[in-house]
Amino acid sequence: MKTALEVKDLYKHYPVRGSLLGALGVGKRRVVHAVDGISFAIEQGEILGLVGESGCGKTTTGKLVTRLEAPTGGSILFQGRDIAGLSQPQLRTVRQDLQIIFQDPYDSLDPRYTVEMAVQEPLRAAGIAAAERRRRVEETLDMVELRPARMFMSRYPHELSGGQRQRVAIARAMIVRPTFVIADEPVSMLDVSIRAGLLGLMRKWNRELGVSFLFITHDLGVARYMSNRIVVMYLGRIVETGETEAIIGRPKHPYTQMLIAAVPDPDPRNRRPEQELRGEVASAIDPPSGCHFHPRCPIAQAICAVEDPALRQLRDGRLAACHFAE
Amino acid sequence: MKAPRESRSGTTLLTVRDLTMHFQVGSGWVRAVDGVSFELRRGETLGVVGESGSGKTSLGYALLRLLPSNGRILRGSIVFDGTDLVPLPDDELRRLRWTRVAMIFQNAMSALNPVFRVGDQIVDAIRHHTGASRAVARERAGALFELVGLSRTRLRGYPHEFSGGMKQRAMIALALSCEPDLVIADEPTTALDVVAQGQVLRQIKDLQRDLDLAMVFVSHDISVVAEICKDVAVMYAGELVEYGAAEHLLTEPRHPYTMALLRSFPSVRGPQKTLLSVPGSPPDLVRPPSGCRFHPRCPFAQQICREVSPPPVATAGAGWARCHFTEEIRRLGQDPLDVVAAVTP
Repeated sequence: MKTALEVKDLYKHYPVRGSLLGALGVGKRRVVHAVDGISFAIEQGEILGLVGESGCGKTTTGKLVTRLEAPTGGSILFQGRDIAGLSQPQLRTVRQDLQIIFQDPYDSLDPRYTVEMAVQEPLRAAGIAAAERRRRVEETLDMVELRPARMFMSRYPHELSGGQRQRVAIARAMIVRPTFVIADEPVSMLDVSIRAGLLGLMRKWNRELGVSFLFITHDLGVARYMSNRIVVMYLGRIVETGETEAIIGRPKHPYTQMLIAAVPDPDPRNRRPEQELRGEVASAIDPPSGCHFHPRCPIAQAICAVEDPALRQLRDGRLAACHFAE
Repeated sequence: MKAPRESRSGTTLLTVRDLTMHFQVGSGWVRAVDGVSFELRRGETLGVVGESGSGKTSLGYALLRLLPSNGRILRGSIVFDGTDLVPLPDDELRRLRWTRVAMIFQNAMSALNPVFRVGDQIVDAIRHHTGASRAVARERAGALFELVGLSRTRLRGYPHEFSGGMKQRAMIALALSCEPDLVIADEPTTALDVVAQGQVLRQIKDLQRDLDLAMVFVSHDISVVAEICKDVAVMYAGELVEYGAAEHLLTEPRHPYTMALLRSFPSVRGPQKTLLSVPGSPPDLVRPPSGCRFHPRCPFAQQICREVSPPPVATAGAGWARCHFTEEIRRLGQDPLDVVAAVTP
C-alpha cells in the first residue's frame, strides 16, 4: 500500500511569552513542548485516529501536518516530498491535496459569505471559471447531503444549523478533491443526535473516493467508529499506537486504559469500570521527569520517574511507551 | 457541615404538572416547554435528554422560574416540598433559590469573576445566603472544596489558575454551599474533556448519594445521563416523549426518538453498530408540527401520527411513551431501527 503521509521525529516548541526574565535574556528560556518527537505514517485510503486530552498536542500536530504552523524539527513527507521546510508560496501547490476541517462550524465560516461563495472559494483561488465553479458547488453540496443544493447555495451561515454549517465546511474541503484530509474534532461541538450523519458522510467519502484522514478527537468511541488505526498522545508524545480494535479492546498503556475507562455509555450493560481517574494533564512547560504520565499512573514504580520509556513494539505488533506494558 | 439530615428518602420532593412556558419572539410564541409533568423523590436523580432546541434547558430554568424577559409560564404547577412555585411572590422565591434549590450551569468558566479569588467568591455567596460570619463561611468553603475533591489551598487561587474540571468542581461546591434539597444541573460536564468529565460525573454521583440530594440533570448526551440518573425523561420539541427508569428506557426504548438517540452513539465497550442519525432538524417551536411533533422525522410515522397527538402509553418499569405504535415497535424486536435502515435507501 502507498503511504499518503509520513511524519518523522516531529517537534513543535513554543517559547513562553510574557516572562520578564526571559525577555531580558536572564535565566532559563522556558519552552512549551507541544509536540515532542512523534513519528507515524498514514497509508493511502486509511483513517488514522489521533486521540488524547486537551493539551496533549493533537491539534498542534494537525496544524503542523497541514503546515498552518511551522515545525521546530523533523520531517513531514507528503506524497514523497518533505513539506516541513516549504515556504508559504511553495505550499500553495500542496494545499489543494491537503485539506483541514476545524472543530467550530460557527467560527470557520465567514458570516458575510453565502454558502456558494464559501464553498467555491478554493476553486476561485485555483483560477477555475465561474460556470464550472457553480456546477461543482452544486455537485459537492449534494454529496454532503445539503439538498436541494440550489436552495442552500444562497443561504448565509446564520440561516444554517450547526450540523448544516459543518456540512458546508466539509463541502469546502471536498470541492478541491483532496487526497488527504485532517479533521480536527469535526463533530465535538455538535449535538450527539446529528454527529452520526457527519461521521457517516466522512466514512463514505473515505470509502468511495479513497481519501485518507487524520481524524483528531478526544472521544474514544468516535475514534473507534472512524479509524483503522489509532495513535494515543500524552503531553506531546505518542504513548500507544496500533490497530483500532486492539487498542480499544485491549489497551496496554495505563493512559489509554484510563481514557477508555472514562467514556460513559448509554447501555447499562456497558457501564464503565470503577477505575480511578487520577489527576489532570500536567504542564507541557515543565513536563514530569521520566515517563510524563507517571504522576497520574496507577502502576507507576520508581523507575518511571527517572527513565523515559521508549516507544517499543509489543508481541501483537502495536507500539507502547511504558516500562511495564507487555 | 451540619449533622446528617434526617433521611426522608423516597418521599416526593418535586411535582411538576402540565408546566407550560412559552417565550415571545418576532414571529410569535416559542412553545419551549409544553405540558410537562413529572415527579421527583428526595435523593433521586432525573435525567432530561434532548437535542439543542428541544426545550430541555428552558425546562431546567423554568423549574426555578428563571425566565427570559420575554418568557411566561402559561399553565401548570411546580410543587416543591408542598409549595407551588408558580404563584409564589418573587422575594419568597429568591429565598428558596440557592438555599433549597441550587443550579449548576454548563459554563463554569464564565460564572466565576476572573479578578477575585475563587475562595472569596464562594465565601461571599455563603455569607450572603446564610448570614454566617466570615470565619465560619471560610471554614465551610474549605470543607466544601474538600468534599468536591479540591485542595483547601485552592481557595486562594484565581479562576485562571483553575482547569475546566476544577472550575466545574468549584461551581458544584458553590451550589452545595447552602445544603440544598434539589440541584438542577444544566450540561455540567459538556465543556470538559473525557477524563475530567468522568471525574466530575463520579463526584456528582458520590455527593448525590452521600448528601441525599435530589437532582434534575439536563444533557444532550444520553450516555452521560445514563451514568448518574435513576430515571430518564426524553424531551422533544418542548414535550416529554418518553419517561422511565434508566435500566428500562435505555435498554428497551419504546419511542422512536429515544431509539434514534441511542443508536446515534458510538460505543467504546459494546459491539460496533452502524450509527444512525435522526434525519432532519428539530422543528420550529413557533409552529410545531401537528399531531405527534416527531412525525416529520419518524421512520414509523403513519397518517394518525400527523393528526393525533399521542397520549402516554405505559411501558416497562412504570414508564411511559407518547407514541401511537409502542406495541408494534416492541414486536419488531431488539433494534427496530435496523429494520427501518434495511428498507430505506
